[in-house]
Amino acid sequence: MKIVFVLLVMLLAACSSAPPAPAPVEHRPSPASAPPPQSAPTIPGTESSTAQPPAHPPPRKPSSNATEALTIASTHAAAAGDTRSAISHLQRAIRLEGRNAELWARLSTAFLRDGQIDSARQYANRALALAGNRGDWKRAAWLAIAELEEFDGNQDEADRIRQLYASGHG
Amino acid sequence: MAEYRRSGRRQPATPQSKLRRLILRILWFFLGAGMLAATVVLGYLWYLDRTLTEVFNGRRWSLPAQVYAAPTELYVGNQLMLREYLAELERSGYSQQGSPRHPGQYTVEDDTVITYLRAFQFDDHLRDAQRIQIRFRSHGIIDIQDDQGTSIPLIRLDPPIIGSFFPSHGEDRVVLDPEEVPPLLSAGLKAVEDKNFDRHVGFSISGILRAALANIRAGEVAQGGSTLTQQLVKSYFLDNSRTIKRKLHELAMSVVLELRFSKDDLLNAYINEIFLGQSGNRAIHGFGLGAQFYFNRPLGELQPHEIATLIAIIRGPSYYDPFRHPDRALDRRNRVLATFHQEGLIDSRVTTHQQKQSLGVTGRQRQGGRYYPAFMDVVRTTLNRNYSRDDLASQGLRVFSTLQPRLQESLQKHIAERLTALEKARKLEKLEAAVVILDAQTGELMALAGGREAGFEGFNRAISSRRPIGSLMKPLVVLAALEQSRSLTEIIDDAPITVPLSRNKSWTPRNYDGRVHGPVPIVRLLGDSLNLATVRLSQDIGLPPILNLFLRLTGHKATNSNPSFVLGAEPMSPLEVAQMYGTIANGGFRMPVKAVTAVLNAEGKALYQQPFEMQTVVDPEDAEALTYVLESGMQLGTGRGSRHARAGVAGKTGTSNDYRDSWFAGFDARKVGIVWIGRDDNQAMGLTGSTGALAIWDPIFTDLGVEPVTHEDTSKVRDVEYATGLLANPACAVTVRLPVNAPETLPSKPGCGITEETDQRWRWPFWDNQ
Repeated sequence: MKIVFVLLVMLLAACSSAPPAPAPVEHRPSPASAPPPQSAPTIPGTESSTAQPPAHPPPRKPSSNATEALTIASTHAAAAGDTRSAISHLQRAIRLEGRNAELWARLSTAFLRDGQIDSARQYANRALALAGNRGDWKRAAWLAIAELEEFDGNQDEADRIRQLYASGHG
Repeated sequence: MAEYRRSGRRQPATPQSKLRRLILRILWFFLGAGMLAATVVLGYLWYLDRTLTEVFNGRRWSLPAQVYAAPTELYVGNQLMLREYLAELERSGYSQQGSPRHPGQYTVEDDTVITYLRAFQFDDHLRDAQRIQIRFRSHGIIDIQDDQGTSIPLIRLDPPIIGSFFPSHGEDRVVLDPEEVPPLLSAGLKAVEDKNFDRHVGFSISGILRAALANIRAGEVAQGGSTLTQQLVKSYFLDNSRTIKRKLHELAMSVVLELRFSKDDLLNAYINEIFLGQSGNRAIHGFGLGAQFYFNRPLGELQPHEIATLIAIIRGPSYYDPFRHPDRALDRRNRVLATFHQEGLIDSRVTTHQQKQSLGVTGRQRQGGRYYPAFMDVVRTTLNRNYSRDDLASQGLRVFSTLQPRLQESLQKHIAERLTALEKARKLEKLEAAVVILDAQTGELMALAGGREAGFEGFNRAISSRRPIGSLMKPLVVLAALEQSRSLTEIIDDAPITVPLSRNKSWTPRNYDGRVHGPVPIVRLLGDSLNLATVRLSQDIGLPPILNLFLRLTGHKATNSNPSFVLGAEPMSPLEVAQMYGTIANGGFRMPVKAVTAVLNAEGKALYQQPFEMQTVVDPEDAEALTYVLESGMQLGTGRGSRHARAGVAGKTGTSNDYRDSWFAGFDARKVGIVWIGRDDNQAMGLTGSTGALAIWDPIFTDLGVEPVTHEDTSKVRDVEYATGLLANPACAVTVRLPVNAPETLPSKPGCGITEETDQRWRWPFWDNQ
């Protein structure tokens, strides 16, 4: 009986137009499993160090090695044209040091490059507010503002700010 | 011939011919019936084949969106203690081993922890598995190195899952690909549940007979004869009824599936489909989620005894529930391990060793520790703006949230402890509380408690309960005054005042202490929370600028536009208050509170990334000045009872009429914390902001660690006597540090002043270096 039953079903199966198929499995990685590698931003010397030497001069030293590493990674990403990664690194750094005006100034410039002008303006404002009287932070904030001035077509104003802060004093 | 017939003459029938006709009739009957039956069966099987194959092929498992906590950042200088790090590892499901040889393991040697981090797709970065060594001292992390001894400045721990959006029918699962399934699980399942799996065609007559015999002997249903394929069919397509019709249906379906799909496919489907337990309305399906639910680890990291436990549970997830019936589960697990041994899957040494292990299930889920429903309410609200319920329940989204579980658990602990202590000390009952902790610089929601009971999936007071905020509103009056260029040292008369209302009515507020304090500077008005002076100042400013300020700070309009608004007769939720104080703490930049930073699809591609949204709504200088005032209030005013009063925090107490609501809003350089205490029936408690809510805020900020508010520009800051608003020397007066509009014009306290020249001479050199 079992054989007859199986034969009948096999006959039907053979008649059917549907091809044999695997059972459905959604390809979602489990939390611990890694999906296929993709081009991902890396932090030099941290989680995976594959970045090229920086095309830009290294940034001024922020207040901790962690934010410094993230700032360098952001500079690398920006130099490679990967603005989204540059932004991600800076946001991660700001989560560590939210009152660091230089980080906000850098974020402003990264957003400007990404075409998000309104946010760029707000971040530059935030940088300036946090900078207070601290020279290096004021300089970073004003240089970010110079970029925005240039974007707005105020080249003279941008040049004036850059000239003022060119020597590195604030 | 025709003639002959018409004549009606017929040969008489012989008995043999009668019999032959009868036999022929019977044969025709059976042939017809057989063909009919065959047609019906073939039709049925054809129908089954088409529908089953279509459904099985077409159906993708609903993959509920999974929500992750914020990852813990590990870096030198992080004040994360060794025990806190170990708790983080436990939360993320890492297991302690003698020597970590595989991802997900760690070992502790004195002050050093070697951790084999798992590979993990973060919202911005795929991190490979990596072994690191972290050294701790009493103040936190002092060194992080990789295997080669190279220093690592920064690395993240993979975050724990804090919730998922399973559909209304409750099925939650983590789907595994065949290569992710440990060989012992596949072989063990066959050994325990279906020895003939590789040979049968969907059902096993011998298995059914063996089970029937065992059941007859036992006098009850002690053994099931179902193959893995039948169990899969049962779980996938059928209900739990025990009828012959359903059983036949199940057999036919099993055979069809066996013919259509390979054994490997069916086994993998089984591993992802089978029901393994229930938690509230959440049904745990598949071994991927089963491993997380019972052991808080990925399936690939489980030891043989843990795999055996999961296999043991299949037979009766309720009966063998390791949480409720650990003895039963342990007994069956050991029998499963014995079967593993009999089938040659593990040797006798391993069997003995594994049978000695405890069940090892993590009870955290059942205590509501890992799933944070109050926080998840905010996540859900955020996601509902961009995703349908179906998408969340089925598309396998990975949601990265801002929750910090360590902080969340800390505040739940303190809420429970302090409310109990308050009830006992003041003979109160049924107190409830809600707490919101925000990152002041980013607007990210770090933790949120909707009530006293952790893990309670009900009324969320932090977002749904709107209660009058009392004096928490007063800073807006001071801020409005600052926006009108008034000085914090300006004197306001704290004297009786009657405010005319419409229809010949009037309003006469009183101070909490019932007293009148006379002329006071604005800084003290706020610090001592003086109602009369506040109302007088608000009348002077006018209500519209204050209401407008409220709109700017919170992003929504006030519901009350009466003069009593300035004393906090405005119902707000703790989350809304957090938004308001977050804007002040953030220097006048309003950043919408957010609980989600990114959403990735099942392939790891970012669908949504939330930047830091912000808008300048208050002049940063004014916000900074208000922060000074709020610091003064902590040092000398209603917040002075706080253990952090002089640690550089800013804050304000709030108490509603008849002591029904006790509030405290406070912040340091990094975090904003809002605490509300009250009763759900809105009865009076007799608690003020400082005797109630502050008692919860304090220990939470102790756990968090206070980072003092810093002020970069101190050029206009002077020592001012708190009581009079006059310039004064801290050596001979009770002073606070305040920004003053025109310091040179501010009079000094007689006999206690410092000349401007001396002040300049001694202060400026230091300011220049700041």
